[in-house]
Amino acid sequence: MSEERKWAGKTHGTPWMHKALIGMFKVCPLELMYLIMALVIPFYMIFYRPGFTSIYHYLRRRQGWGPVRSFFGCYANHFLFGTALLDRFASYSGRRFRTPTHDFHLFSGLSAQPEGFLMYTTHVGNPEITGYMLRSDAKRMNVITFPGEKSNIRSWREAMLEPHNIRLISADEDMSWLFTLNAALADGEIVNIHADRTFGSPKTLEVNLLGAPAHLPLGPFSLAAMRNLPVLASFSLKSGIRSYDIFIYRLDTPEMAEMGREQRQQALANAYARLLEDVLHKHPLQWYNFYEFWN
Amino acid sequence: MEELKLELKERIIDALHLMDMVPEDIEDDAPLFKEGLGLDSIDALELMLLMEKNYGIRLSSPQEGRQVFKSISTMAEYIQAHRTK
Repeated sequence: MSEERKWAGKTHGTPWMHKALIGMFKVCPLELMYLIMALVIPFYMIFYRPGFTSIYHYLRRRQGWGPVRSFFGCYANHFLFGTALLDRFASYSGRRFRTPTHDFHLFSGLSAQPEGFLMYTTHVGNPEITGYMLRSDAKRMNVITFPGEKSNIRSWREAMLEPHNIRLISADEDMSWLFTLNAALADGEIVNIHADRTFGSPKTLEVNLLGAPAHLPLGPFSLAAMRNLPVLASFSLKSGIRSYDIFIYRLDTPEMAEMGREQRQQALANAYARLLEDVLHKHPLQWYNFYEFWN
Repeated sequence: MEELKLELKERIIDALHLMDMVPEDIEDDAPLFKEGLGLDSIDALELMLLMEKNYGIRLSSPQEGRQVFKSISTMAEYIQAHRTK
């Protein structure tokens, strides 16, 4: 995968900006923050063109929207992404959201089994919200994070997630995280990993997504296939000002367990692509990969 | 030890699908990651699985793991000292 197609994985803003945002959420209503953000978005669309153009191309070419609808769709997409970011800081300030969870039994069922399993998340909706709700007392959830995350953000996330039996593992360059990840799976824990962006290894798998070839990172699917692990996928989709709907799906099938390793990892990737396609057809504006995702 | 190193090279070539490579192409003391063989994070996970399945060794310490995975020689020395299979 070329350097241009890899995401840098960095959080923006300075620590004092983040603190100020959290402080504002303690006194300001969420709706007011959304309103301020709505006024700022056009400037962001103008001055961060790669984000705007990538979403415009996605809506035009992959969702089949006309040019005018796609243009306004870009604004709506950026607005929804902004709400996801603001909701994150609202959570750090102590606010909570309604999060009805669909098919939670898939998560609780695997949590009751002795072996570990994988949970794939995607930059669709707000995957961080999932972490607050999908709690297992029996198994610790290990969330693989990008190494570019600012340390103060990481500290807040750790403080919020630790009571939920969640550990953050930073995918650092020295690969020490791999041993921690390996130990977690061997101990029967859960590993939560993004299935739509590469980090660590540049190797990918090709799938058909919304009518065009796309490359998914090999790592999550290889990890599942090499250890023949159960795999869930989860999506947290904004459904109201103070609500997210969480959806959980099982990706692996009994037939996949009988396949050879390479066939199994491709089958998992294809299953994930079909699922992602279905989600994007229903929630086209909550796609938050702001770069040219397709070939 | 030489037999173990050869066996290890053959297993690595097979596990990592290193097409067109034979054991003689892998130097005992060449780095496995970044330079030398140029393996990456997915390959590291494969090596951990190889150690578990073939030698009964589970590597969970990052500090220890980084030392073990430096080269074929360091892997073979560790396996010889800690194998349970």
